[in-house]
Amino acid sequence: MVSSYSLLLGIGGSVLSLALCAFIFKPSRVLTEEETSLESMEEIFKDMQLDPKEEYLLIEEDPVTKKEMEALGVLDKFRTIGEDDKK
Amino acid sequence: MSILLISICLALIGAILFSLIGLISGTDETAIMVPFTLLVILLGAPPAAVFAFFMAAVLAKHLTHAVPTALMGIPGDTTAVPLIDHASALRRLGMPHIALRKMVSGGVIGAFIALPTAVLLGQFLGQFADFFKSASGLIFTLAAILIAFFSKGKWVSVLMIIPLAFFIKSLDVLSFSILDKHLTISFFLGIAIGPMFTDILFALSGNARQTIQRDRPKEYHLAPDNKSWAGFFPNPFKILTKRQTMQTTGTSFISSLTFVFSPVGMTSLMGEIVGSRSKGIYKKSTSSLTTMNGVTESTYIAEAIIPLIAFGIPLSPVALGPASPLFNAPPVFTSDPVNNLHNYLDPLDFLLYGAIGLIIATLIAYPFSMNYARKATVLVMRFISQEAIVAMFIGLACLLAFHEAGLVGIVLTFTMAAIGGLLNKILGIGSGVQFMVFYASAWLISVLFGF
Repeated sequence: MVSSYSLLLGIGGSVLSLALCAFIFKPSRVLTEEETSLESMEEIFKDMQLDPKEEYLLIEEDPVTKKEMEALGVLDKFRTIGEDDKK
Repeated sequence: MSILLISICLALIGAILFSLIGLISGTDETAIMVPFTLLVILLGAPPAAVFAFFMAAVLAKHLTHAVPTALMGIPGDTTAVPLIDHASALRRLGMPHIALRKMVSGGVIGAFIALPTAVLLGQFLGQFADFFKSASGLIFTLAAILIAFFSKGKWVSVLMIIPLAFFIKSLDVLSFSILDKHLTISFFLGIAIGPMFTDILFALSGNARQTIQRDRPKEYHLAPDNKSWAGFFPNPFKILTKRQTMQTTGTSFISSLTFVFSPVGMTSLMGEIVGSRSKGIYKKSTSSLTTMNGVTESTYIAEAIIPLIAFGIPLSPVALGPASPLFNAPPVFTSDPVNNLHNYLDPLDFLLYGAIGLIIATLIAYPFSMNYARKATVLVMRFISQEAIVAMFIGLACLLAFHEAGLVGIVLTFTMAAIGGLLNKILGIGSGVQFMVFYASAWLISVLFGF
């Protein structure tokens, strides 16, 4: 029993050290919360070496994927850029 | 309290604790799982409850480590590295929430496929157990050579097997002459926290400091997360398409059988196979992510369970790393002679208590990462510094080493951590190789020098 309790006490100590260190040493990372995508879709497609027209055609040909993307509200992004490219 | 109740309670603790730990990116799997599992074992939890705790912890951690991977584009831990490319593609296209949902759903399916498959395969391989147990020294040595060759260091890892075994045996002989007992936990902890400890050593060294110095704080970009489903507990089968469910089920089943390969390798391989059969960036990325997270989960679980049921000796990368306390946690569990979960639980117990762990982890971590991913990430990133996490783990290592062998244990742990960590960081001799050499050292030295 003594050894179990001493272990438990030790765990308590470790958690306390976590709390103490978190209090003393503030995180030095920079967190930027992006509310919207900063890059335009066109740039991203270009950067990833994707052909918007082909991507949109592939979605059009695949009813399951198309339905899922429609339900998730992301199809429009592909449609806009895919159709723009067609023109 | 009945064993069932204790198992449920410990699985709950494991699931909650590791759901939070999973959010902290870049945390080393072995360094985290080993101390906590050792604690549960040494506190006297029944073997069934230890197993439920471990399963809950593993699944919970993997479900929430998808959060930094999807929302920030940084791997939750080493097993998430192969997923980064596809996750980043979806993140850049403004769909990180979809990446997250697919990954988490795939993970849940993979876990539930792996458990029964691994139990069955473990039982089948059990008939060869006597051979494996009687030749364990030789098998560990051969496995060490194999794992060493496939580690990052390749030939240098193979070359260092004998010197490292010599070093470990010397420490063992010295500590034995002081304490009159052989130490295991202190060695384990040293190997596990090695890479973390080496960073501290680097920071203290005038010579090596420049390699880890930064001129500005690390920047993280957290992508927006749009919740687009109703209710609290989304159905994983509705989130995946039928094809994705089938792909995940198939690849998870196959990867559960290949328990001797590294989970990262299997994940990349299966992800590439599925990805190459899907056209279009959206379909390719979502299908690959679903499959990959399913495979990570299934390989991981199978690698822990199969050697446990079949042999009772750690013969897979996961059994040598994060799951090692289930095999070896003296005085409670030992792997030579075999006296661990292998002896205390029968295959049905593994299935039952494993399922308890997985179900509880799913009930907690799955809705958590689906509903609160972004808020929780912001809280962790804003308020918990890396220093605090390192402090806690170094503290836990000291605690466990002291519990095993007093001051000798602590000195041994940090000696092993310094040497093992430097070998790991500089030469790429991974902790799996070091664990294997630790197991093989007694046999190897006795064959070479008759000691």
